[in-house]
Amino acid sequence: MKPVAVIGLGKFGFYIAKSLAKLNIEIIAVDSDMEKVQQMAQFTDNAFALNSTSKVALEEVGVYNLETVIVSIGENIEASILTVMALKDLNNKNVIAKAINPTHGEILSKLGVNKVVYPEEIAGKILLKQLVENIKVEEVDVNQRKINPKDEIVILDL
Amino acid sequence: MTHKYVKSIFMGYVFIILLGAVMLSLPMSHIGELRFIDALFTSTSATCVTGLIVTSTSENFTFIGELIILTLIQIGGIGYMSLVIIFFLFVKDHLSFDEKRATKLSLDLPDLHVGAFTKKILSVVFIVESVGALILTYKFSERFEWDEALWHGIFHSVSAFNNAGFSLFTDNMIGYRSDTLVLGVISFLIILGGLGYFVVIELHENRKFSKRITIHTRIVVLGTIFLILFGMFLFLSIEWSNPKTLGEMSVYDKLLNSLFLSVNFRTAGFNSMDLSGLRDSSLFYSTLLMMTGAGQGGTAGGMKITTIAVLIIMVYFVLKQTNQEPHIFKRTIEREVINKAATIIMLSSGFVLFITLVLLETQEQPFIRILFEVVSAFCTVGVSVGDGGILSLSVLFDDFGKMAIIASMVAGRLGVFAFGLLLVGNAKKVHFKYPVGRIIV
Repeated sequence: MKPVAVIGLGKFGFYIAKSLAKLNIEIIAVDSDMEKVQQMAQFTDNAFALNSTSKVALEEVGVYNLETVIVSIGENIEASILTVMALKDLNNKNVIAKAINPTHGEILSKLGVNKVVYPEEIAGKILLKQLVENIKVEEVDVNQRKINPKDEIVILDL
Repeated sequence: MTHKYVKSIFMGYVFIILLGAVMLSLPMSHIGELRFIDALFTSTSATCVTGLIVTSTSENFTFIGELIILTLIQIGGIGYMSLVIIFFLFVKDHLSFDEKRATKLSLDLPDLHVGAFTKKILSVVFIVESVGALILTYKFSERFEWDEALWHGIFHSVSAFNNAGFSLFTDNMIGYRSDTLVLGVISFLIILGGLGYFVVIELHENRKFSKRITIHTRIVVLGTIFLILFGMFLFLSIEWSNPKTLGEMSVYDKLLNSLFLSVNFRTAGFNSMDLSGLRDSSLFYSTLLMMTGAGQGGTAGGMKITTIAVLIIMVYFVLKQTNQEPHIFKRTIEREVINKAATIIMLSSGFVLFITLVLLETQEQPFIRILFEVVSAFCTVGVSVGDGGILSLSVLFDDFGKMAIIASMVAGRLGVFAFGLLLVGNAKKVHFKYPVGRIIV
C-alpha cells in the first residue's frame, strides 16, 4: 500500500498523522515548522521539515503519485492553495484538504480537491448530536417563560 | 558544480605529472638508466612540491632534467590553476564567472578579484625568488664558478620558496650546516612560501596597519611563530646530547640547526643533518608538526595551521559550556568552517593511517620510519630518514610501495577535502530537513 501523506501538522493534521501511524499505516508527515516535525518524529521515520508549496521539495520526500494526501493548512490560505496545486501537479490521486471558510473551500474545490473538510463544522455537528441525544429536551413554550440567556448562547454557538 | 571543477583541477595535476614523467624519461634529461616509475616518482614529488627523491637530482639528471624538475616545482608551487588564469589573462581580458570560481577553489581563497590577485601572486613570487637567488648565488660563488653558482642559487631559491626541498647537493644542506646566511635565507624563503599568498599579500597591502588584520592572517602568523619555536625547543631538548645529530655541535650550531630542522619539518624538507640519527620521539613529534603544516593557499602541505587552530578553538568553547558561538579575536567562527576543519582532520588521519598500514604489511621497514615517510609524502614535506645514503627511504620500497607514496603526495597536495569530493561525488541540493535524533556521546 502506498503511504498516506499529511501536509501540515497543526492540531488537526497532527492528530490524523499520529492516528494513522498508530494503525500501522505508513505516512509521510510534513510541516514547515521544525518543532512540529520534531514532535511527529517519535511516531514515524518519515517526518520532514520543508516548504510544501515547493514541488521539488515534495518530490524529494516522495509525495508524488500517491493515493491519498491530506492537506491541513488552515491559517495561511495562500500556502494551502499553492500546496494543493503542487500536489495536483505531482499526480496525487485523492487530495483531501481542510478549509477554514466557505470561500477557501470553494477555491480548493475548483483546484481539483476531491474532498474539502471544515473541521470546526464537523466538530460542532458531533457535539450538537451528543447534546441532542443526551439532554432530555423539555418542551417549553418560549413565549410564556423567561428565557435564560445563557442556554440560548450555548446552543447558538454550536 | 564544485565537483566538476575539482575534477578538472585533479585531471590537470595528473596531466602535468605524467607530462613531467615522460619528459624526464627522455634520454636528454637523465644520465644512465632511469626506470619510468622513478621518473614518475620524481615528477610527482616535484609537482606536489614534496622533495622525496628515489634518484639523485644532481648526479642522475642533466641540466635539462634539472630544469624540468625546477619548472615542475614552480608550476606545482604557484598552483596549476593560477597558471591557467595567467594564460587567460594574456589571451583575453575577462574571465568568465565560472573560471574565476574554479581558480578560487584551487587556491582556496576568500573573495578577491582573481585577475588582480594572480598578478600580485606572480610579482610576489618573482621578487622573493630573485632576491633569494641573488643572496644564495653570492654565497655559492665561494665554492663554484659563477655560472654554476647562479644555477645553484636559482634552483635552491625556487625550491625553498615553493617548499619543495629538492637540492642539487648530494648531501642536501648538510654541507652548509654551520652557514648562518645560507640556512637563514632558505628558512626565510620557506616560511614566506608557507604563509600562503593570501597572508603575504595582505601583509604587503596593509603594511601601515591602517585596516584590521584578518583573523586568518593573525592565526597563520602567530601559529607559524609558535610552531617554529615549539619545534625548535622540542628538538633541542630531545637531541641535545644525541651524538648522531646535535650532540657534536657547538651551542650556536645546535640552536641554528634545530631551528632549521623545525622550519623544514613543517613544510619544506631540506635537511642539515642525517635524519636517520634522530631519536624515535623526535621522529614521532615531527610527524605531528608535518601534519599541521603551514598556511592555506600557499606552497606548504599538511592539514594547515588554521584547520588545527579552528578545532582547538572549538574544543575550548565546548569545554567552557557557553551559549556563545566559538570565536577568536572578537570574530565568530562559522559552523561551516568548523565542520570543514573536522572533516579535513578525520580524512587526513584516516588516509595516513591506511597507507601506513598498507606499507607496513608490504614493505620490510620499521614502523616509525614508514610512518615518517608516509606523513612526509602526504604533507608534501619531503624529509626522510633516508636509505643510508643520499636518497629517501622510498627507494627501498617496491613499485607498489612507490605508487602508494605517489598517491599520498597527490592526495596531500590536492587537498584531502577535494580528494574526498572526488570519491564521494557531488551532493545535490535538497529542500527538506530531517527532525533531530538524539545520540548520546
